[in-house]
Amino acid sequence: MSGNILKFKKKDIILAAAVIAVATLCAVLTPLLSRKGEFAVITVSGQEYGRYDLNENRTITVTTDLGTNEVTIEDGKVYVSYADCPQEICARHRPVSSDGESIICVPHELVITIASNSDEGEVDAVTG
Amino acid sequence: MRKNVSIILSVIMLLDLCSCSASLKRYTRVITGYFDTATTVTAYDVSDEAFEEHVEEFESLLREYDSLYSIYDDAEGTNNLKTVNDNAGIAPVEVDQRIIDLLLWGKQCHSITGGKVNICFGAVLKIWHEYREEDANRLPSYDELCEASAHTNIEDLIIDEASSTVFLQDPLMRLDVGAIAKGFAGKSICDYASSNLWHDAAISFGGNVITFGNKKADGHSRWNILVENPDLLSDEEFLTLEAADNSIVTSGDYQRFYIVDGQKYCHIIDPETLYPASEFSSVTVICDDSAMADLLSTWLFIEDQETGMEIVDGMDGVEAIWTDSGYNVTMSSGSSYYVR
Repeated sequence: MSGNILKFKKKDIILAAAVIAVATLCAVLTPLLSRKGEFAVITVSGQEYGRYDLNENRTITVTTDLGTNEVTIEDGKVYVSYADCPQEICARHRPVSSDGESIICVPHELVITIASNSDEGEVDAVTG
Repeated sequence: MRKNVSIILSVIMLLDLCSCSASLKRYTRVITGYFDTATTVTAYDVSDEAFEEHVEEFESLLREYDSLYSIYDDAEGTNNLKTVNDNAGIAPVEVDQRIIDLLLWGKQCHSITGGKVNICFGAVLKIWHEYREEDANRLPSYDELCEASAHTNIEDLIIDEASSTVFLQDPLMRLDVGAIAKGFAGKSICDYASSNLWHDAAISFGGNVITFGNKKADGHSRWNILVENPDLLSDEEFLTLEAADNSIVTSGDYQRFYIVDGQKYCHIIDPETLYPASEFSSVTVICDDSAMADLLSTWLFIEDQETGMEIVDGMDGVEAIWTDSGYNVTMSSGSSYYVR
């Protein structure tokens, strides 16, 4: 009987250790894996304009009635390389690459959001 | 037997976790066109249809507050702050209770900050606004600013709660609620949203962040709030804060500014000097109340480091992070709890 309990305890410890190991692994790996976004989603006036792989360097020119923005994807990062809006706040924005980050051109109602296939999101909101 | 029980329990717990994330999906929507900025909603909802419906309701509230608190555009079918400004020295204007509430808070802000944040400072702010918009590489004259600052006495703002009217006694006075309106509106909108639309959300009103409920991610229940890097030339991420039922607001000099002779002039004006505050490139405030966070971020942006630290230390549940013009960071003592 007592031997039985001892045996059981041992397995318990193994189970607990395994659970802790997996949890730690998840906790360590999740931020590392989800940190970088996978693609850039461009929306104009609330409508999706297109989604673009971050691994593919390219420049997308978005022209609407409101104006023109040139969005450049370079080495996994996205920035606005040209804009004809009055204050060019979007063009001054530093390149973004983390899941959940965005660049917004208010006058042109253009939004670039970094997204990934994981639905957790690295960044939930931006202050500044 | 006990082994079986523990395995079954583990499986049930795992299933619980799975079903939880399966029934709630994460959504993000950027809404442009209000408060001269973009509002970003990240929320968990049960279905695409439910989220659409809730976002629509959220947006209609945002629209209402924006049009009531606007000093630039007339509100369709109702009086707003522009109407109040247009009637300065002419007649009291009957307004929505939400305007009365904002202006009463504005008076409180004035007394809390000893006049450093003054919603009756529109005459001076208007001059800077025009020069900035024009981007003409020139500064307004001190005389011009001084003349305008004679019309900024908060006592000339008459709020009659009984008759729901507002009157600017001084014909040259103008309201400008830019320093407090987003935080105040955001608080009211999120009070409604948290009890009627979403249980868990992180919402940014152009950088004024309000979070409620929890993020649903493995190992994370707090929301990740990225603080924008005030150094525009840097492509590094600056700082990530973790929030739960907090508001985080940043005032910065790096979005709305113009440059004269190589010198940067931002949109936050010190009422004492009548010139843009220049000590910091950004100040971030963390507290429970978004109206207070909004007020404090502007106030601390104007005050020097030492005074600012005293203000923060003297308040319960308030933390702040200052970045000076050389991008050196100073944090209040309890900030580290929020830094990821």
